[in-house]
Order: sequence, then structure tokens, then C-alpha cells
Amino acid sequence: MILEVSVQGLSATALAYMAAAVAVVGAISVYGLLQVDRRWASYAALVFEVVLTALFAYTVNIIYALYSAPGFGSTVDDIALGVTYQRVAAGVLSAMLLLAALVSIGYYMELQRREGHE
Amino acid sequence: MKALIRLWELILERFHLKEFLEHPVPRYSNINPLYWLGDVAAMSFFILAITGFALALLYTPGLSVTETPPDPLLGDAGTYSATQSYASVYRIAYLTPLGFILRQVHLWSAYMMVFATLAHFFAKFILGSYKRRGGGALWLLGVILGFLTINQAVLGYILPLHLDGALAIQIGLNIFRYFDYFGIPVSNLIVAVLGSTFVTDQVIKTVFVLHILIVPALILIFLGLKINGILYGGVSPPPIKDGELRSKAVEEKEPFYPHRFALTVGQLLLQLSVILLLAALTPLPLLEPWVPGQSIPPGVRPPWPVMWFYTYVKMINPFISVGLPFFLVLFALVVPLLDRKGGVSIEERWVWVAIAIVYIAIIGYGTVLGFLVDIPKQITPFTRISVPPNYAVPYVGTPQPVGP
Repeated sequence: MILEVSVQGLSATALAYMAAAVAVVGAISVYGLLQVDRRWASYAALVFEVVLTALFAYTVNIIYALYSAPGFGSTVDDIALGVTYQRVAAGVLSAMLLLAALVSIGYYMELQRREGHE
Repeated sequence: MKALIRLWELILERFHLKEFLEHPVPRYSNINPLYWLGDVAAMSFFILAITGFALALLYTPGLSVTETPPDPLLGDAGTYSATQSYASVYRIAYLTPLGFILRQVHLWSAYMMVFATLAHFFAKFILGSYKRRGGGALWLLGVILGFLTINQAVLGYILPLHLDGALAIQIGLNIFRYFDYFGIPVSNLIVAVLGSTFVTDQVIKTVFVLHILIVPALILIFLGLKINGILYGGVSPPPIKDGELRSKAVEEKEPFYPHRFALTVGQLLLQLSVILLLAALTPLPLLEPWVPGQSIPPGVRPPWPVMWFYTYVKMINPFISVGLPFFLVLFALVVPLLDRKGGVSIEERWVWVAIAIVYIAIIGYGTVLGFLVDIPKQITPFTRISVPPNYAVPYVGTPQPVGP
């Protein structure tokens, strides 16, 4: 198939597992650190965000390579492959936003602690 | 850095943002999730607007029939005959890089907006939010917004012109045939506006304009009024019976910035994260296409926001079931006039809480039943005996153009 030649990158499954691992470890670390110190939680979130951004950029790169390949869309398998990579990209983006949300809500919790509500 | 801080302060001052950012918000509304549901619905609307702009640039409505490959999420083989509208959505969803994510985010945000709107409605019903000064007006705006939201969901569902979308327009246009005195003029007006008794290019274009321009503009106006009312009139009072505790809770306030602002940003990011996760794990297929003149095969069902209505239309006398949503909307509008006495705590107004639960039960039961069983349309003693005259019926699917 022509697209197998075009896509030389990691498979969608491998990317999905990598993203899920980073997301789970990241979410647990950020949540755990939020209980201790928000500053360190923010630093940890930043590191995981950078890793996830790299994964996202890599996935999007593959998506564009795939969709701009000559003959893309001639078979349903090609289209399904494109959809699979896009689902991975959505998952990576979801993980990035989750970590940012944790830090933002963590900031409110810290404000509550500072003002003696807990 | 100092220059940037000065610039930021200047922006806050000159655009009068400081007053907005520092306006006090009661702490109980920040920590109680029942007070966030309206924010979720409003945020969903803005996500829908942003994704909708991009989708509107790529979508082309039209009925000319063309060939498309099958939906890869359904796993069929061969090619389909489909309308230009369907082919256009197919191109966005499956042949455009990142178009799949765009469409999925739009769809899941729409479902989230409908769900949050319903949940927000029931939360405010149970909290008795309309009992404070200005609450009735906000309640009225909320009911109108809920009605517009459901309409917008159905209009958007029609646009790809898959079988389910064709079913939606068929139901939508035939709904009025069951009301002799009110329905016939309304149905004739609809036919006059659309210019046809069946789906044409003009009809689908009208639905498109309604979906991207007219209904969102109305939602924006009513939403603006509602936000204004909340900003100056405050949020709903806490459901506490003890007067002293209630006034203590009302007086305990936090500035919007950074307190509620951090929460709102977190909620928006969390919401987007959930939407993208749903897009990744449970993507919604485009479904099978409809071609002009094709009848809708059995087994095709409407989307879940209107599933309960479809179930009741098939189960009971259409005169009663078709009127049910109208009754529910009208009842919701008069609730603030009926529920005037007593406080806002649950023990003081348990009758109204029970009514709210019945309300939830009617919609929930119909929705769940619609997905669990395929109800055949039966002639029962409750079924309407006299069929409305044909001239009153905007019947979609019959190729009879209006005029000579």
C-alpha cells in the first residue's frame, strides 16, 4: 500500500500507549505534588506538558504526512489509518489539558488553604 | 518585566476590567458543583461557536447526489450514494487532516451543552433559584435558552443528511400536523418559509443558516442578558433553612479574580479534556447517508436529546405525546408564579422537589426506553382516530413541489 511507504513513523498503537503512560504518571504526580506544594506541582506539570507536546507534534506530523500522501483516500483502510492517528492526537491533547486543569484547580485549593478554609 | 506588568495594569484600568475581575462571588457557589452547571453549558456554547466557525468554512450544503466511500467507523465496504451535504461532512471528518477531531469536538460539545443545560435546569428547579428577586427573569431566560439549545442540536443533526438527520427533519416538520387549530397555520407558515414540502437545496440551506446564524445569535443575546443578570443580581441563594447560617453563607465572599477565575479556567480545561477523551475513545460515526426520495428504514433513531420525545410519540396518543414538550416548556415557564411561598431549602419545598424529580423521570424514562427497545408504531385505542387532512401536512419525502 502506498501509505505504508509514506508513513515511516511509530504506529498509532505505540503512540497511544506512550501517551497514556505519560498522562497517567503525569496526572498522579501532579495530583500528589498538589497536596504538598503547588509550585513543585506546576514544575512537574510543565515537564509532562513538554513531553506531551512533543508527542502531539510528532503525531500531527504523521497525520499531515499521511493526508498529503499521493493517493490518500483511495481505500477505506487509508482513511481508517488517518482516523486512528487523529484519535491518538485527540487523546494526547486531552492529557495535556487535564494536567493544566489540575494545576488551575490546585491553585484555587491553595487559595482556600491560605485563607484558612481547610 | 516591569513594562509588561505596567501594560497589563493599564489594560485592566482603561478597559474597566478591574471592576469585573474584582467583583465579589459567594464562596458557597464556588465550592458547590450544582452552581457550575450553567458555566459548563455556556463554555460548551463557546467551544461550539469556535469549532462551528471552522466547520462552516468547510461545509457545503446541497442535495446533488454523489458517491462517497463508506464510514470507516462503521466498517462497511463499497461505496454509498449520498447528498453533497453528506459528502461535504465526510470530507471534513475523514479526508481533512485534524478535521476528524474538529467534528468530534463539535459533536461531543453539543451533547455536553444539552446535558449541562438539562442538569442546570433541574439543579435550579431543586434549589428554587427563581424565588429571589430577579430570579424569575433569569428562569424565563433559562427556559428560552434550553428550548433554543435543543432546537440547535436538532438543526445541527439534520445538516449531514444521514438517515438519522433526514428522520429528524421529517419529525420536525410533521410535528405540527397533530394540532388542528394551532398546527395547521404553523405548518403552512413553515412550508411558505421553506418553499417546499420536501427537502430541497433551499430547505437545507435554510436549516444551515438557522443553525449557524439565527439560533446562535438568539442564544448569544439571551446568554448575554443572563450573564448580566447574574453579574448584577448575584447567584442563587444557598439552600439552607437556618436564617443565620444562610446570611453567613451569603456574606462570605471571594473576589472573582483569582478565586473563581482559577476555577473557571480549570473547569474549561477539564471540560475540553473530557470532550477530547470522548473523541479519542468513543468517536461518533457519520452514519449511513440518505438520498432524496428514500424512505427512512425502521431502526433509525433520533439523537439522545430528543429520544424521549420520539419514544412517547411512538408509545402513546400523538395528540398527547406531541404536546408533551410544549406542555413541559409552558409548565416550566409558570413554575416561578406557582412556587412562591416558603424558603429555598429542600425540606421547606419538598413538593416542588418531587415535581422536579417527576420532570427528570419523564425525560429519563423515555430516553432510556428509546435506546433499550425498538417500539413499533401501533394502533391502540389511544391513537388518534382522525388523520389530519393532507393539505395541512408538510410531508417530507414526497416529491411534490409547491406551486404549478
